Amino acid sequence: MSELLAVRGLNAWYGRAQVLFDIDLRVDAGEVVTLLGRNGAGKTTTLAAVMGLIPGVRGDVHFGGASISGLPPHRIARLGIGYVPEDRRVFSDLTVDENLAVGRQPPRPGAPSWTPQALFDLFPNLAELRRRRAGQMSGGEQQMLTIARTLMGHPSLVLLDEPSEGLAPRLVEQLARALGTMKAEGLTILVSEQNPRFARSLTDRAYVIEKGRTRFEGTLADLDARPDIRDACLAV
Amino acid sequence: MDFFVIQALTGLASASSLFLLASGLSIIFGVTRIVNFAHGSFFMLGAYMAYTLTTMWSGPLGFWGGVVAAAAVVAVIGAVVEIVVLRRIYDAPELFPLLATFGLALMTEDAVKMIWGPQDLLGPRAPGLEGAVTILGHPFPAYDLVLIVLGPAVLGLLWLFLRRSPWGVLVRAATEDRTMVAALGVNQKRLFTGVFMLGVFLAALGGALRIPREAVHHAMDMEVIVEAFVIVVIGGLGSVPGAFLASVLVAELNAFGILLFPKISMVLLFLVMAVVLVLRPHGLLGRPEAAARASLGVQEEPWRPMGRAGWALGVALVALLAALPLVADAYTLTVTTEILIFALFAASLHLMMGVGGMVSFGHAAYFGLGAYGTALLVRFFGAPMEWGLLTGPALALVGAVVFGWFCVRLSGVYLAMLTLAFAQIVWSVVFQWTEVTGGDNGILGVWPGRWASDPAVYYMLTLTLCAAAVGAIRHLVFSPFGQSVRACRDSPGRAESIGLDRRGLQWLCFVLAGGFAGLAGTLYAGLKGSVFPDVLGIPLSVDGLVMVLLGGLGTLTGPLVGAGVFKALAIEVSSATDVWKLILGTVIVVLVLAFPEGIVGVWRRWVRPRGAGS
Repeated sequence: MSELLAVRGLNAWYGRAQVLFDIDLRVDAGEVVTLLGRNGAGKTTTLAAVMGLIPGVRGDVHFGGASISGLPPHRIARLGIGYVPEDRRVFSDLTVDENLAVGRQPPRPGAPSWTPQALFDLFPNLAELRRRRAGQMSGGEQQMLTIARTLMGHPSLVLLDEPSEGLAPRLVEQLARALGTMKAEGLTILVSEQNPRFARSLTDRAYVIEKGRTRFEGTLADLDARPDIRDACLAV
Repeated sequence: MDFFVIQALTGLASASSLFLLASGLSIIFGVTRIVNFAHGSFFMLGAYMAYTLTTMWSGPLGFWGGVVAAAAVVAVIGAVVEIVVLRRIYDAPELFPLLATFGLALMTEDAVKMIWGPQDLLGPRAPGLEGAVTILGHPFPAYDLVLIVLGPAVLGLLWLFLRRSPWGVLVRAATEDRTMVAALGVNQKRLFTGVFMLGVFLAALGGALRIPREAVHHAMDMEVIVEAFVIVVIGGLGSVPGAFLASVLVAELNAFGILLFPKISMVLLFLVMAVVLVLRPHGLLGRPEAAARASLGVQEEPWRPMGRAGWALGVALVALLAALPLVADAYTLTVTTEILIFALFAASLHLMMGVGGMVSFGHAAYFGLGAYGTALLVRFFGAPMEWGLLTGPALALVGAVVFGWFCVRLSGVYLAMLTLAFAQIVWSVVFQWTEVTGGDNGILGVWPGRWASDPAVYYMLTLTLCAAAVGAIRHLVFSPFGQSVRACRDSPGRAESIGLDRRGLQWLCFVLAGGFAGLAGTLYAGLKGSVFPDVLGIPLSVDGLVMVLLGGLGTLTGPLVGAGVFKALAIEVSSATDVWKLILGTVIVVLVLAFPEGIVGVWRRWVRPRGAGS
């Protein structure tokens, strides 16, 4: 499989405090890779840094073979990386349809393309709420909307930051099914999670980060064989 | 009764032009978060440009075409300004763009005088609409009727545009969360330029439409900018319908206030704004501001008490200043005294803004109350000015206690505007209460006693008091009180949840800052020997902001350096040239572009680089 995203030696700072130390990541086309770690381990920062949302980052980020380090977020998005932030940043004043319209980009050759109809099939709850203001929807519905909004840009890689956080178990299952469909459509996914059980069946490989450093890389089966890492770095 | 109807209609006609101005300001703020101080300048440029074009072209097409073309030309100027200046500083601390737009406003004022001359210009009237129609037996200008229709028409168009067009949806999305919009692949730069152009176009159109009603002159910008701020805040920041509602409210207040309450006509506007903000902290149709999303990876450098070297430097500087009377002449001493006073003024504003996190657009209120607290004592009790060192700061403290109680209930730009409203209320009272304050004529003869009449002695008095006050402010910042206040500034929620009384602490901070400003005002009164309403005016409040921001908000030394640089520049430049506003404005813009963290902030970056760079 070909390498789609490659992160090498990523360092980031908040003020003077360094929060990421030489993070290395690789995501191949078509893979679902899970970024595991506790609260505050650096998962959100890693994803935001890939997206170009953090100033003063050092390190190499390659996407589709080309360097994207230092590019502004909108350029990175247009190259085909979709970003779903952890705190459901829907545009609460806008309707569901309008939220989707903000995410719309021209179709991209080689990436799965989505229509609003396909997205309503993926997230049936949204179909009935098209004229509803996003601010008046439940947390779960908002989470579905942020993913749908990102897919409107026809990305080839999606960065999902803790999508299951705070969702009811039923919705978590629904979300995992949607991720399965997205993977089946050929989408590459890098998802951060605290819980290795989420989307376990979809995950091809996983990374564990702890205190801003990569502690583990391999399959979830490999991770099961390393109780030391699981106990030290994960809240399970 | 008929008369009231006519007066109300006149008010509605003014409301249309105000609405165009204010809606542009509101849209620009909503998306770019820039408090555009130059918005009144674009309004004025629109009027001047329309004057030129409509006198050049004739006929209805010439008039209306000229008006629209003028707005379009100014919109292009706006785009250039956005691309050349503002685009570079969106990532700078919140208020820096305000400083840049203030510089631009200064530049425009002189530029307009150079291009169109200092005299008032009377534009042509709209062809076919020169006459009056009779309404209820009274003549009413036909052009005003057109304006009355135009306001709601523009509101409708804007509403449709923002609701129905794809670009409008993007604008509304960016008003909520511009970072997320960028992460979805929207080119922020273009969006911001577009929004800025639209806002400037509306402002310029508002100005252009005014030429048949009144003469064009070069002080229009400052006249309208404050009104525009008031409207936007009353209506709710970022809300276009709110801006319309507030325009009507303000225009009718202007139309009737002068008739019904001539004594307090000037206070009325700001009184209404204060009442609206106290009852509805986010304006009539505004929404609570989304808690500013701290952008990832940006963090304030924590402040540290000065090391030994810092103290030594400070003591050396004071000693050096104390030695100045040995070598300097009276003029230099007077100028330095003034600079010292403004250093204290800036430090007190910094205590409120930098330490307390409460931006004030009306800090002159406390400076002025200090000055008047002294002057009134001199005028009515014949006491020498130095007794005012007690009454001046005391009056400022009283003002700060009362105003602060209201202000700490708000936050962000709304708080800033409420401070402006209170400052304007005090200014209006002083201006209109002639029997007590002397009104525009001020109070003269506010001199210190004979012992301090020598410039050198007064200089030493000022130096002693200012150095002590600045030292006290420094001490406060690192006291437990200062730490608590800074905790409330950085994270109100967390500070409250560990048991800090946020409002109480901020109120105390507000009051202390007011008191120190009052001391500065008192010293200023004694230096000048007279007090005029200017000491309460908006220009002085803005000067304070410029000093603090120029020096850098994130440091304690910043405001002192900023005050020194700004005041010295202002005094030097204004005595050397006629176009000092142009020069000063250019210098401010260049400084903002060169030092987006303030002078001291950049100095620190060179001397002590942060982690990421090392």
